[in-house]
Amino acid sequence: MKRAEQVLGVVLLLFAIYIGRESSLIESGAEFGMGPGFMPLWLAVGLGITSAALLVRAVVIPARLFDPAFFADRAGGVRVISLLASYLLAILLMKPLGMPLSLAILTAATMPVFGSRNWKAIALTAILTLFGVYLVFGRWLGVPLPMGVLEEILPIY
Amino acid sequence: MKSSMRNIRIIVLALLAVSAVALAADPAGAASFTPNRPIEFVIFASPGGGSSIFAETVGGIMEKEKLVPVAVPRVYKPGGSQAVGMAYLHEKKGTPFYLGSTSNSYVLAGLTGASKTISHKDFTDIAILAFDEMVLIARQESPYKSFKDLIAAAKGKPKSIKWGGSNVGGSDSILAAMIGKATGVQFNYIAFQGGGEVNAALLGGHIDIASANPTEVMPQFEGKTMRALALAADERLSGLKDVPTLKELGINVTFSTFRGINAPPGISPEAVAYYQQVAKKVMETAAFKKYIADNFMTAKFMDGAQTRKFYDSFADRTGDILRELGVVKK
Amino acid sequence: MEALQQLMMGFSVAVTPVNLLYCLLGTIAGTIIGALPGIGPSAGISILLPLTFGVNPTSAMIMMAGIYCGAMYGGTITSVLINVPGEASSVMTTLDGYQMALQGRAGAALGIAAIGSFIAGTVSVVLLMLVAVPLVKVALSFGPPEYFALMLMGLTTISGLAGGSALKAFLVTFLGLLVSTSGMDAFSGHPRLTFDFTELLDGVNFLVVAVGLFGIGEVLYTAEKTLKLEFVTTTIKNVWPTREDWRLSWMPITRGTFIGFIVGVLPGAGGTIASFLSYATEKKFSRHPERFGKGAIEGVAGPESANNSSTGGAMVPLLTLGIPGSGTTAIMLGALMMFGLQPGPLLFQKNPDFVWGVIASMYIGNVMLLIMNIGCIPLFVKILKIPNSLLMPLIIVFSTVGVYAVDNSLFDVGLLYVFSIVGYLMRKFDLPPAPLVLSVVLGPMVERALRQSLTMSLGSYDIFYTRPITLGLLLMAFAVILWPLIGWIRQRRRTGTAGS
Repeated sequence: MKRAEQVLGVVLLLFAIYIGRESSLIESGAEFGMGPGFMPLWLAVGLGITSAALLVRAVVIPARLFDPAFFADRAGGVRVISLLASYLLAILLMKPLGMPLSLAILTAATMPVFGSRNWKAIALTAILTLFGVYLVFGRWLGVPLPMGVLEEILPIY
Repeated sequence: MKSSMRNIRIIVLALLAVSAVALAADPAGAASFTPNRPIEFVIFASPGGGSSIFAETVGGIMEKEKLVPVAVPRVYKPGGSQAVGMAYLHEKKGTPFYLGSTSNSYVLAGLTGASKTISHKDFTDIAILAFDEMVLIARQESPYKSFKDLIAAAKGKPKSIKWGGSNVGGSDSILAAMIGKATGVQFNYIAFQGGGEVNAALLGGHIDIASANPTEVMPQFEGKTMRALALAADERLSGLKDVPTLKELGINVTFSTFRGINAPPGISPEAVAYYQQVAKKVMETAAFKKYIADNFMTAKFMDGAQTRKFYDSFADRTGDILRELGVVKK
Repeated sequence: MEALQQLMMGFSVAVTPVNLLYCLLGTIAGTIIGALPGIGPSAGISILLPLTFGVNPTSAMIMMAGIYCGAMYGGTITSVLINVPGEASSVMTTLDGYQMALQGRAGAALGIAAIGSFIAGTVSVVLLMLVAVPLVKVALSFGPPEYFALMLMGLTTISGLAGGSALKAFLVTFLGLLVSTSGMDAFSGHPRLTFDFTELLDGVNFLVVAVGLFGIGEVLYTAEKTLKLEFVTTTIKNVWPTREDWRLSWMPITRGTFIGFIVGVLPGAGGTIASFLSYATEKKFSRHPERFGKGAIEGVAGPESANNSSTGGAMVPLLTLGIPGSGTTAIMLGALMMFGLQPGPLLFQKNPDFVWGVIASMYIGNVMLLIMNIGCIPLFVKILKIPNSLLMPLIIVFSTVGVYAVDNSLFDVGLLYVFSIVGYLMRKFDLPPAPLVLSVVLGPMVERALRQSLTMSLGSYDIFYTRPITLGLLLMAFAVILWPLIGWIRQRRRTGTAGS
């Protein structure tokens, strides 16, 4: 974690520098008081200073005060990454397949991550998610869900 | 799991194919158009504002009076000074089952660069139905009893009058700039978040003047908390008989909020004609007339071509002002 | 006793079977929708608004008031049970409420929240009735400089909220404020830090940040640990707070009620700042501030009372002036206009049956909500018994749809997932999430008020010390900053003398 915290400090510092550079391109003065660029610029400076302090702290403090590794165990890391991958998949599918279907897929993909190995239960939950989201949000609450390929089969109006 | 996934995919594909065939079987090129599926009425703003009241009213009339044979669900796509909703409608290219609700910000979004790639020119114009006038207001205790007082006080003292309104680049700021230009007065324009905040600041005496649609402030006039100074319309309003127009005061400025309907690009002329007929019928209903009267608006029908012409001249007029305000880079 | 007479008339309007039904429908629908992660009062009302069309204005307003209050109660449920605030105003509830749930005291947390909300809700309606008119004058005297001072006071208390490292709290606050600057700048009309995303022109919605950091971020963290969230479920049946809980909570509820009402009356401030000031106040007043963030019941009782009390407060400018005091009442105002009813200064005179009917139904709604919530707590708490393999996907699904439903925007859904990663990393690095959400909410308000003030004064800073309320609030803000410092110095001196 010591290394990770150093990386965090560096990343935040670079982020602050980038935002500061972007903001410095925006007018920071105005006729009265301050312009649009004033706040972002000085906030970026603030973020830069605090993240530099974090970096220094992460270098100075002895390693034994940190957790030994970023992921406590390998399996945990795999679970997090597979969850992130399913988010990515879901967001990519949301427009073409529609929200209910992509959320059903997301449900089916995440249940095993949380330890379910019962395929029947997973399939059932996914199907319930599909229809539940469609009926509750699309039909009952009238949320204009993107329906994608299902638009003609499950109309929301 | 794998095979079941594949099965699902096959089912989905099959359904997709069936629906595609069903769509293709539609009499697309038929001479007359009648919608056979719900018409989504897109509002480029959040619920609660003027655009939303317009769209809810017009959409409701279409449904209730059976002017269209299908439902007209209202769909809110707020964000990006209307640009997000515009982008959404633009994506529906060629599909005649979507309508949009237009107002000043719709044209302004294309000018200010809020909408980078699309402007009002990229849509099919259906019609303009009404105009919402703008009235200049001050609080009751204000030393400025009339617009003349205000101008007299402001002359020679630049930035002494505090004018509150929505964001710079929006309708309020454009009206302030137009009046400033016509009278030679420099107002101190202060941007607020939405009409509620502006009205609160005006009532609290933190700003001197603001502009509003009459319906928003009519109760304040009745309650004698605010007074109307002038109207930015061509003629006086029947509900505000004793409020002079700017023109009467010798200031050649008119400005109002239009309320119109547009559609995605590339829809058939038959569909356009159909929706124009529907818009006309909406305007003839008692419910629409009541809406116009209740909100102190002016009903005026403009067909597609007139609407486009109006938008273009509106864009010309406001474009110069926006450049002067520094919102649009020269 | 004119008010009493009119209230009686109000009750005669409110207890007609039709209106009672709408009130009940509103409170139930509000609670359910508020309990869905990601959907709070304002999204709830805008989603449920169409249900009220075709109803007469009084019944519709009664229903909307029911939805408003119900959603406030409902938002608490998810905050306590699964750490997902339904609204910015329930962010503070997650801090201690969720910890209480982990310790098996979910029932007590929900119980005290319901009771506190009931007391606060009822008192705020009484206040609304009695002092609406004089109070609104005071509220109007709040101009941009006063708001700036108030928001600044809010900001200065942020870093004190999070336990742990002050450096990290500051870092997170800067990050949150930076996020809040994204969008179209109202004063110049120029976009800034939008990276060419049209969707960012209106800025980042705090709800996306809140649900991302707390809700889905927590899901990711749970996934890594895989350990089932260790809810102690043995004492879950104890809904009614203990005598000790009462002793600790009655003052926070009282203070929260007044803080909430006063802040609620100020147009634009609303429940978030109310709940947040209440939490900061309780932490300051507490003899054991170190218990906060670790399941202190005061940390639930105070903010929950404050945010419910702010609903009564927010109705003051709406009903007396026709000016919405919060995002939710702004939507209600629009709805009323759709019914052809324009609230304004004469509403009390012109439509007394409407105003008093709504006020009376708010009393009734609060009673309904108390009974419903206390009765249903054992049921709600069962959520915790759902296995993780089902609960976690459900949280993801509801959060996704909930965030989408706010602006019907897929972009927000993507942003939600991004903030869930941020939330997960923050959890890993022990960075406190609450300051980030709050600074996203407060940031734009502070900046706007500051720049409005300076435009008003033509650039002169005199405006901040020549106005008495502004000066008072600013001094309080400095006191908030200096207080811990003084405490620290005194402590050092004491240990110093003890050492010598």
